[in-house]
Amino acid sequence: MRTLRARLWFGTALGMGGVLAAFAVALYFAVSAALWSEFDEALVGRLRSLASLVEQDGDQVEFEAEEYALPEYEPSPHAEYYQFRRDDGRALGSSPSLGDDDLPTIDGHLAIPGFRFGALPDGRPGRLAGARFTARQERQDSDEHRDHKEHQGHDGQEDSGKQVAVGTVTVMLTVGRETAGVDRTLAWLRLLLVAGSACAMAASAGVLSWLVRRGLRPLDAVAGEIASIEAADLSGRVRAGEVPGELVPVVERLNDLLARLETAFAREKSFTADVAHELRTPLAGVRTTLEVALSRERDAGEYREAMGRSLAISREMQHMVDNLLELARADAGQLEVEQEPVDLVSLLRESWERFADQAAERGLDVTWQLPDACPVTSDGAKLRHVINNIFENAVTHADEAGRVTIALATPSAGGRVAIRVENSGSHIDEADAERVFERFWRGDAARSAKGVGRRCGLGLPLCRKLMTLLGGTISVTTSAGGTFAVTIALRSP
Amino acid sequence: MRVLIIEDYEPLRTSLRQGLEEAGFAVDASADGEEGLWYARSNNYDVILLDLMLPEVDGLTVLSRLRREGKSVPILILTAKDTVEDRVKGLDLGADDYLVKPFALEELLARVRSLVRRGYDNKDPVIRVEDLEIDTAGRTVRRDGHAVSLSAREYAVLEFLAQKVGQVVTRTAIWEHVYDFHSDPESNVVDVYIGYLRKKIERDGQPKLIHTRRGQGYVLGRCD
Repeated sequence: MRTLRARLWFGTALGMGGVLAAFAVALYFAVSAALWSEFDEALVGRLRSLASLVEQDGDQVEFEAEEYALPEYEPSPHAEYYQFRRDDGRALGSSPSLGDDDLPTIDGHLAIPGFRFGALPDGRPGRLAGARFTARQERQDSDEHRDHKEHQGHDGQEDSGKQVAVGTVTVMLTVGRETAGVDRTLAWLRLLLVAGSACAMAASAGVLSWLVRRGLRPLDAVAGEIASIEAADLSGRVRAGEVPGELVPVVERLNDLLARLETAFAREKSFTADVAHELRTPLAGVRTTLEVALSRERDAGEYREAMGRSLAISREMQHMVDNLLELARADAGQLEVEQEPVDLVSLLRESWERFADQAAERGLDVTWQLPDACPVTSDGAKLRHVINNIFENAVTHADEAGRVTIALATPSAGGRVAIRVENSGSHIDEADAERVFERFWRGDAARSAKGVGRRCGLGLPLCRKLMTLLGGTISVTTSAGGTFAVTIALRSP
Repeated sequence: MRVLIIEDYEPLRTSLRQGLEEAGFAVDASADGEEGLWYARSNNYDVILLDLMLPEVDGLTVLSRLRREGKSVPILILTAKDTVEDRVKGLDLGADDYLVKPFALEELLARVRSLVRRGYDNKDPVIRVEDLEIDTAGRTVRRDGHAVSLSAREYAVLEFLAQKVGQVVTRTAIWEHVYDFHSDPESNVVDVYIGYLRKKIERDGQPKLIHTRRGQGYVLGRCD
């Protein structure tokens, strides 16, 4: 029952079987009712015709059965029975087949006789009908009738008429007839219905199985299409146009999922490619520098220059690897925040020390807008990492002899502390501003930044990750004049 | 032989320039695609070393633009992108060779020399003119079995003449393939070097190999 096919097949077969069985039972009962009603009508017919043979002549009740040939009541293996009684129980007459036996009296009228199943005197199963009626008065004034009767009597059965007392006489008549014919028909019908149903079920089980398989073929097709999509190439989609309506939502969801997976895989792939690229390029730099230096005898100055260049490159690589690892740890949720009291003003001043020389070398005009102190509770090391990255960006990307502004704004009470670092000479379009947080994204300006090593495009993405971890925010704004500003905001205690 | 480096990573650019110069090439270097394109259009380089991820105009665009403009200069792609996809794309856009960073300097130089030969339709690294043998791989010259010692610049002039053996080569062409933008040679510097070369390879009454075509330039070897 694990497969849809089996479940559908079983369910449909069960339903069909139920309906078929109900139909067979209903048919059986309808036919049986019709047969019994026909049987009963025949019984009633016999009852009435026998009743019509009873006449009251004065106080005599005559039964004229002997005057007619009634072969069905003669003794035989298929004989039928009747018996007349007066309502006081005295027997009036009975069929020759009955012999000395009695039939039970059954209440009823000729219009609505009483019926009963029961064994016939000879033991056969049968059905009895009984009615109580008033014997017909013989018409005394009818000469014709009398003649006729005399004529009949003349035939030699004069003493057959029974003499009954004058007044209305109530006669009770019971007839009995074997039910073997109906029973046989019904037995046949039962057999027919059971066998027929079984055959129909067997045949329809086969047909159903085929139909279900055929009906589920689109599923197989979809499964085939899905199977043909491989992790290496997720560009394939399941064609929704060719599947049945019920599967369209499934296929659409699946395609959505595939699209998301493809994007994620592509991002992963390009990230790996970017990492490879960003590590290979400085590696090529250091290798070529050393190979060139070693390719011939040189004086100490030239060696020193080559070694200095190699050292600078390895520092860059270290910086990048550090950022990459920190980012990977942050992604994996392995960074823990240690809350401690931090004075943002001294943090900013201390961090700047590393960049002061470089800023002076590039002739940058640095403006400070700081309060005396700004104590917050945060993770000092992570904040320092963020601020170092922002300072490095500002000092590197500011144009030669440009401006750098470092401002700290404290809210009057509660709210957020904001640190804003601004530099001139940015070439980043407003449209690209948000892209600085994409890993390995670099504006052209960042690529051609001369003399100060290259930016690997991981600093700001890492800053955003760390600020989120610290419960703060980081955002960038650009202005038409080439000003690029990074703002970090922290909750103030 | 003159080489153009288009590479945005400054330390690599500097070292490459030094390595190539020390191997006897005249070298121009550019840090972005746009400037590189300008260099490539304004000079006849023997080989261009092209990085792919470049500011302004990316490497593949530089490549396809040069090819569309009919420049047949041999181009060696020098990149950190190493997937088969990237290589195929680069080669299909008209690059002649592809080297993944980081690379061995030796290999780079060998590939550049090979591309130079291909640019002049020479398969053999040893060019023979009469009894003069120029080994472009080892940068050695022999005449009649005897080694001839040449300065780097003299060798450069001779190699260029040898690559175009039997053809008239103008002074400007020699000048273009022997000097880079940074040098500021005297106007008659080519004639001066031809004079030095003649002294070294046509000694002791050996047959003349470098012929002057007045008003046109010079020819190495016989010219029809």
